Amino acid sequence: MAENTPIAMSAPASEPGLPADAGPRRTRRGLRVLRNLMRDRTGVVGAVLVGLALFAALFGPLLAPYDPNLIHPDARLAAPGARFLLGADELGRDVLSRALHGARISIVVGVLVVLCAGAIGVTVGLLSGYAKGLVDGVAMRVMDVLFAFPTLLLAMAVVAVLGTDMRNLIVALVLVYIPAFARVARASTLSVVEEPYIEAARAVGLPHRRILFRYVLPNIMPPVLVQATISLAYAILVEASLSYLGLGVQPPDASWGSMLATGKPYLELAAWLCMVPGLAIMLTVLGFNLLGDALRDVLDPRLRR
Amino acid sequence: MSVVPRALKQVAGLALVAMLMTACSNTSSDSPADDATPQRGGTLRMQLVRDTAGAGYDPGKTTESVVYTVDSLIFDTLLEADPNGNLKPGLAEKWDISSDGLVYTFTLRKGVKFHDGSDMTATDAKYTIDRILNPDTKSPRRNVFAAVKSAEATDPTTLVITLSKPYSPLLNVLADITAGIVPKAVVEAKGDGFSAAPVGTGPFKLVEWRRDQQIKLAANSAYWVSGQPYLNGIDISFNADSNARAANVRSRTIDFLWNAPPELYSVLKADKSVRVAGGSGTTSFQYMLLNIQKAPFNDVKVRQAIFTALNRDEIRTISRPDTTATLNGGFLPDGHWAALSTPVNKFDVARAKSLLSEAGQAAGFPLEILVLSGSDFHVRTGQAVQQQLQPLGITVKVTTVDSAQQQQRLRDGSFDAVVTGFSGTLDPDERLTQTFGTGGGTNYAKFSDAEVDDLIAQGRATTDQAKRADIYRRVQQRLAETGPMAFTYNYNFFDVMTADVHGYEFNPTTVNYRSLRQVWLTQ
Amino acid sequence: MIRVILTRILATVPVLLGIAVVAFFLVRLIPGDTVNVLMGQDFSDPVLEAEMRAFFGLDQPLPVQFWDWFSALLQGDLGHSMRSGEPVTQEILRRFPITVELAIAALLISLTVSIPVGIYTARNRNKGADAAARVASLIGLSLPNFWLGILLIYLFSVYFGVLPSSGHRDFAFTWQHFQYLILPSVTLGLSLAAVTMRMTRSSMLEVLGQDYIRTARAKGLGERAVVLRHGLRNALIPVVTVLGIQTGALLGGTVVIEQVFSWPGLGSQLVQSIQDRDYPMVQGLTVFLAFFFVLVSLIVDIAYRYLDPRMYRRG
Repeated sequence: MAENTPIAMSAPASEPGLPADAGPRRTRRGLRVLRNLMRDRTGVVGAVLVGLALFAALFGPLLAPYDPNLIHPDARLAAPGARFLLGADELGRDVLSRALHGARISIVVGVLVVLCAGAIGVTVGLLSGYAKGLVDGVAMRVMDVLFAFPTLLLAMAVVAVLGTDMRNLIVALVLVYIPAFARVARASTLSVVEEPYIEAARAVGLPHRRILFRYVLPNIMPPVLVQATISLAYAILVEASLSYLGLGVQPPDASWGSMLATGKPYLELAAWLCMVPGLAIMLTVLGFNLLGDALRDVLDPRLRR
Repeated sequence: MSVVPRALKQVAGLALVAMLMTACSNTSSDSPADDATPQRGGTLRMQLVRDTAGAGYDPGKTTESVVYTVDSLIFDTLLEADPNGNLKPGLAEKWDISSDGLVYTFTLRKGVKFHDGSDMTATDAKYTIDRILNPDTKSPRRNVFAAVKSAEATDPTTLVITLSKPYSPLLNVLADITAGIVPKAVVEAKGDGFSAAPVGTGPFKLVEWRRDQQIKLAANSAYWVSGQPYLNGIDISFNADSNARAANVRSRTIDFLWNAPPELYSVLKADKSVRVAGGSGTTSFQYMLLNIQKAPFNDVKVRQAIFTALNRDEIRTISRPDTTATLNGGFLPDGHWAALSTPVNKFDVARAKSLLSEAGQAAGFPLEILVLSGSDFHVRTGQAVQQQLQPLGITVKVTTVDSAQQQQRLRDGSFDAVVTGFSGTLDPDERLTQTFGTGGGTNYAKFSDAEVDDLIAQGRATTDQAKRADIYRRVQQRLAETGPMAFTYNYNFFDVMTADVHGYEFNPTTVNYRSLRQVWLTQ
Repeated sequence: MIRVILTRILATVPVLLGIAVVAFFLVRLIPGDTVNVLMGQDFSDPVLEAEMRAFFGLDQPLPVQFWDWFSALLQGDLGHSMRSGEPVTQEILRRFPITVELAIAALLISLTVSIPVGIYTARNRNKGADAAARVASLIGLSLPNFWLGILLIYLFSVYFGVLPSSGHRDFAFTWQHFQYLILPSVTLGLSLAAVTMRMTRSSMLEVLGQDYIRTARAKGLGERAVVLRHGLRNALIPVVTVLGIQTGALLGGTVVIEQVFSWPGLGSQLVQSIQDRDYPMVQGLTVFLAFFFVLVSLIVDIAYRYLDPRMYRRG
C-alpha cells in the first residue's frame, strides 16, 4: 500500500518585500527559473527523464508493435528477441507494447491525481489559511479525517463501490492526496498573509479574491510544486501497490504496476517481465524527484545566486 | 503399513479403484532416503498461505483448506482414504453394511485416547454425527448427512448408523476430515470455545494458536498408530506472497511449503535442494459457470456455442501449464474411476458460430466474467476466454473481485459468468448433488434437470462401483451438453520440502495432511 | 502551552468520531459480507447463512447496527470480531507491539541513512557526490516496496543464505529475534529514507543560507561546529514534522511489507479484515489507527514548539 503520504514541509519560500505580481515580471521570473534549472545538471537529467515518460504516455500506443492485449499462445514467456524486442509475458503478450500502453495508464493516473488533488487541496488550504477562524477549523478537521483514514480502506471502498476501473482508481487516489496539498497550501498561506505586502493590499481595500489569486497564490506555489512532484512519483508507486493487492487496473489492460505484480512470480523464469516495468517506474519516479529537487532549489530565493 | 483388511472386502461399494492404484501411483513420495529408518524428534516448520480459520478448528464447521489441513492433523476419522482413494480402517477397525444398504455397523478401535487422556468410545462417534445434524451447530456439512436417520452407540465400541434411504457415498463422507471424531464431554463443556481449543485423537495436538501468526502442534505421545508420529511437533506459519513462500523453503527458513504457487512449479522442480510432492491425482477442477437464469445464457444453444468456442488445451497451457490436465467432458480427470474420457465439446469455431446464429445471437453480446483477484490462474483463464470468444462477437469484460464479493454475487445470481474452481470431493456424489442437483447448496446457477437429478439419485442408491461409474459418466455427458458450466481443466496442489524431510506421502483425495504423522526429519 | 495541548486534544474528538462514522458506512458500502466469506465457495446453505447473519446482527436495519456499535464505542468498547469472536481491542493490542517494533526499526534505519546523506548532499550541492548520493537514495524510493522486499529476499536469503526470508519471533535482545527484523525494516527504512533525505537536504540548504550561520562562520567557528551545532538543530524542525507523518503512516500502512515478510502487524490485519468484511474489526482498527495518527502529530507539534525558539516565544 501507499506506505506513506509524504508532505513537502518546506517553509514557504516567501519573497521578502516584493509581491509577485504583474504579467511581464512573471514571464521574466519564469524564464529565470528555467535558466537556473538548466544550470542544475541533475535537474536537466530529471527533466529529460520526465520528458521521455510524458512522450511515452502521449505517443507510446502509436509506437507499440503489437496489440498489447493480444495473446500469442505459442510465445508464453518468450525471451527478448527479433519477434518480441523485450520478450513476451506469461500469456505470450508483447512486453514492449504493454509497457508503452502501460506508460499511458501509469502516467495519466499520476498526473491526473496530482492535478485534481492539487487543485482541490490548494483551494481548501488557501481559503482556510486566509479566512482562519471557524472556516479554517472545520476545513482542517475534515482534512484530518481524510488524512488519518487508512489509504487502503479508502481505496478499496471507492474501487469496490464504483468498480475497478482507472477512473475510480483516480478518484480514490485524489481523495488520498487532497489533505497533503491542503496542509502544505495552508501552512504557506498562513505565513504569506503575515507579509507586509498583503497587509498593504488589504489596507488599500483590494477585494479578497484579487488578493488571494494575484498575491497569495503565486507565493505559495514553490512548496506546492515540490509536493506535486513527490505526490506524482508516489501515485505511480501506489498504483503499483494497489495492483499487487489486486485493486489496480483490470486485466487484460496493463499498467507498469500491474505488469510488475503479475510478472513477479516469473522472476527467475523470465526476468524481463519485471525488469521492463520496474525500470520504467524507477526512471520515471527518479525523473520527477530530480526535477522536483531542482525546482525547489531554483525557486528558493535564498539560493538564487 | 498394515493395509487392505478383510473388512474392506465386505463392502461391495469399495471394490473401488483397483485401477486407480496404477493411475495414481506416481503421486506418492519417492526419494531413496525414505527407505532409511525413521529418526525421531525435531519440529517441522510448515508454511501455509493465510490463516483463514474462522472461530477455529472445529471439524464439523470446516469450510476451507487451511482448516482441513490443520484438522487432518488433530482429528481422526472412522475411515481413512489412502492416496489412491481406497478406504481403510481409521478409528473404526471394521464395518458392515446391511443388505438393504440402510444399516451401517462400525466396530471401533479399542484403547484410543483423546488428547485430554479420556477414552474415545462409540458415544463420541454418535455425538459427532448427531452434532453435525443438529441445526444449532450450524454445520455446513448438515446436508451431506441428510440421509442419516439415526446414529446409535450400542456398546462402547459399536456404532450403528441407520439411513432413511440408501446412500452409497456415506463411507466416503465419513472418511472426510469434516467427520473427525470429537470428544462429547469436552465439546459439551467448552461449547463455542471448542473451536479455538480443539481436542481430538489425531497424531498432533494443538498447543498454541496465534491467529495469523503461528499454530504450534505437539506430538500426541499416546497416538494409536504405534511409534508415530516421529516428529516432536509442527510449527505452522503463514505467508501470502508466492515469491516469498518459495524463497522460504529454498532458503530453509521453513521445511515444508504447503500448496506451493503453481507459477513457480518448474523453478522449484529444477531446484535440487528441495523436493516436490503431488501435482496430480486430485479432482479439483476449474470451470466457467454461466448464469442460466439470465438471457442469453438461458438458451442452451448459446451455452453450447460458448462451450464449443473454447480451446481448452490452449486455455490450460496459457493459464496453468504445470500440474494440470485438460478436461473436455466431465469434471473428473482421466484416470478417475468415474471419468468421462471422450471429449464432448470439441473446439470448433465454425460450429460455435452456427450454434450462435441458430440461437438468434449471431451479432454477439457482452459478457462479464468475474474472477477472484489473487487467484492468478483464474484471472489468466478469464483473459484467454476473452480472446477465444472474440470471433463469436462476444465482447468479454474481465472483472476481478475479492472473495466476499464473488460469493455474494454467486448467491444473488447477479453475474453473467464466473471463472473459478471447486476443490475435489472424495465421492463424486457430493459434488454432483451440491452443485448440479436441483436445490443444491453450491448450485449457483440454479441448474435443474430431471435427467440429471434422476441419475444422481440412482448413483446414490447403487453400491456397485462399475454401475456407479457408468451412471456418473452419463451425468457428466448430460452436463457437458446442457449444463451451466464449461469444465476447463483439472488442477493439482503440490507441496515442496527440503531434503531433510522424509516419508511424506501426498494425498490427493481431499485436502489431507495426515501423512505428516509418518514424516521424519534428518537429525 | 497546556491550554494549547488541551485544545488540540479536544479538537481530535470530533475528528475521531468523524472517522468512526465514515469507517462504519464505508466498509458496509463494499459488496459482500462476512457470512459469504465464512461459508466460502465450496459450501452453501441459505438457511444456515440466514441464521449466521441474524447471529451477527447483520439482519438489523443499518441505523440500529450503527447505534449498537456507536454507543458501545462511546463507552470504549470496540465490539467483537465476527471472524474470531474475540474482542477487537484484544486482537489489536496483540498486534500493535509487533507493528511498533517494525516501525521503530525502520525509522532508525531511515534516520541513520537519511540525515548524514542529507547534510552531506546539502553541503556539496551540485557536485558529483551530491548527484550520486541523491540518485542512489532515490532508487530506494522509486522501487515499489514489495519489489524491493523480494529482491532483498532473493539476495540475502536464497543466494547468500545469511538471513531468514520471513517470519517474526517474539521480541528479545537476541540474534534469533533480530535476524527476522533486518530485511523488513531495511526494505521499509530505505523507502522512508529517500523522503527524509530530501527533506534534510532541503532544510539544510535553507538554514545554511541564514544570517546566523554566516555570523557563526564570521565568528571563526569551525565548519563542523557550524553545520552540526547551528545548522542541523534548526534544519531538524521540518525533518521532525516529516518523521511524525511517516510514523503515523508506518503504524497503519505497512501492508505490503507485512505480507511479503509474514510480519503479523496491524496493516495486514486491516487488509485481512476488509477482505473478511469483519466490520467491527475494520471499524475498530480504523479508529485506533486514526487515534495514533492524531496523537503522533500532536506530539510532533509539541516537539516543534520546543525546537523552534521563535515559535516558542510566541506560543
